[in-house]
Amino acid sequence: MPHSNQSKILTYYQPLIWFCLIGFILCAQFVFSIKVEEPYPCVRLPGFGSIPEEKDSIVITNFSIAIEFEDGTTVEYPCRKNFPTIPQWFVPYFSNNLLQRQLSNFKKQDQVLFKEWLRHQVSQKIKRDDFQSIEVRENKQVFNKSSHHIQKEVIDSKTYTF
Amino acid sequence: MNPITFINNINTWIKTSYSMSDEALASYRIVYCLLVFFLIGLPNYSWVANHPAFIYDPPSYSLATFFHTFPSSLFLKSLSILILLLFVFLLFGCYTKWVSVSLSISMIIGQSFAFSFGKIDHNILYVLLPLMMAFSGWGNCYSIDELRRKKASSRPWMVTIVALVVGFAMFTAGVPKLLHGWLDVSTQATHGYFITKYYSNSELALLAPFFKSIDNTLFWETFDYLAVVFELGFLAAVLKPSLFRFFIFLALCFHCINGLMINVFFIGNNVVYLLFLKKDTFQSIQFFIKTYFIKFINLKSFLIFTIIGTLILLYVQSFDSFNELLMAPSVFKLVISFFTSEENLITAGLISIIGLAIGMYSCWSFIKKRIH
Repeated sequence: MPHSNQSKILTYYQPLIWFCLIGFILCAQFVFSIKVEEPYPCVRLPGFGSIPEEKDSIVITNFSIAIEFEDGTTVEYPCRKNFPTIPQWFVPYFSNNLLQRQLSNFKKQDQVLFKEWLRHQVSQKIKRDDFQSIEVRENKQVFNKSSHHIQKEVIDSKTYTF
Repeated sequence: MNPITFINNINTWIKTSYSMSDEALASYRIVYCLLVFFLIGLPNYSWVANHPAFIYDPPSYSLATFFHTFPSSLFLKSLSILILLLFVFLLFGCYTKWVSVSLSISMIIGQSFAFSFGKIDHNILYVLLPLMMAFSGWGNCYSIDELRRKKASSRPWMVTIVALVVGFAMFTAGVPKLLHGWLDVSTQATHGYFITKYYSNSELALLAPFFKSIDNTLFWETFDYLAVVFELGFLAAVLKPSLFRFFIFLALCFHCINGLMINVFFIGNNVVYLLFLKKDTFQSIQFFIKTYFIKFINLKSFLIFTIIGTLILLYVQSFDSFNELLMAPSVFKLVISFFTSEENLITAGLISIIGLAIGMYSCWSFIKKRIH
């Protein structure tokens, strides 16, 4: 019986069929993630890729928030440690949003709510809420490989006044 | 060689090279679940809710793209409890095949939203493992399915598919390194990333000050080469099980060094690597399960475990807090959190040490056999 033979062959070669099929899917999704954008889910581990070096130095980008209190004092904190409800390693990515790079088309009402959320997040962490303003800063640090000297400069910032 | 013979040989290789008995697969299922409950922690996504829509930034090609904001707290809490129940079902081997599929799908749904802060985390092997093992027959022994005489057809060669996926995942990490010039001797990428991490205001790893003091180009360049060769070679190693097991041991060392250098441990991967233990090492685990655990495979223990697990998860969720590893604290973490605030680091370190110890024992017994 040809039909039964066919199903027997398919059952026998099931491991090979699955192996090839999974292999093809793995390759296709990897090419897609490189050429277009990484989808989720995607079988991929972090490759890091581009080397963060310029000649004899290593460039480091960090985000921080400078808080000005009502009494005139100012304190600067790293962003990483000031968002209690967001995992630390998400913060550098999410900090782009704080600088409103992806928020330009938001409604005015949303911006007000966003400011309130930011204030709430920071006050939860530092246990104070007498803010005059919160400045989100993107800092560039340059580490000199031969002298081990580190130099810091602010390359972008956005101030939220309360 | 005749093409048909060649195809048959490959088919036989897939069937037999990594194949495991139903008992060994079932032991792995139990160990996987126990490690999640007692050491790693259950996935928990309740913390994702209640974030404003302005920061919603999902991957362009994911389930989360179809939504405009984070889901409600009720949905995410329910999803986390569903995942807990699925893990209990899996531990006791109840409807194992479909529970395994549902477990992976549920975790993918939860993670799609958890990764909507602008970054995707790469714990995919741990998430996809139940899906890949669903059809292997890992619920055929030491399970309620066995008591109900509802055994699924056994496909132990699915372990070869898992090996392919693990090897390929490592390969994907090596390709960008190769393309971006990690083998160029004029730059030291590992050093660059280490320094970036060192000054990134995050917690310093245990040996970070030691690595910071090393100012030797050859040392750092060796790391670059080792990383590329190791990650690309992983895929080729799939072809020879004993070599693949050695690469698994190298991976354990690799994650351990990463953890000590930059606090990145990849503890989820360690659980997946356990599947590739040498047969004789696995037999001792099997013996332990046969002697002690099998007594608990009954409906009464199943219900008690479900109730206690749900209560613990509800207790954790009531704080509306998140865990640094996107997971609810495991039993071990809950206990040590009373004594120290470094529970995540201690757990990650402990898992790495256990993984490394098992890997070293495996390696030693392999070498001993060869000598004799």
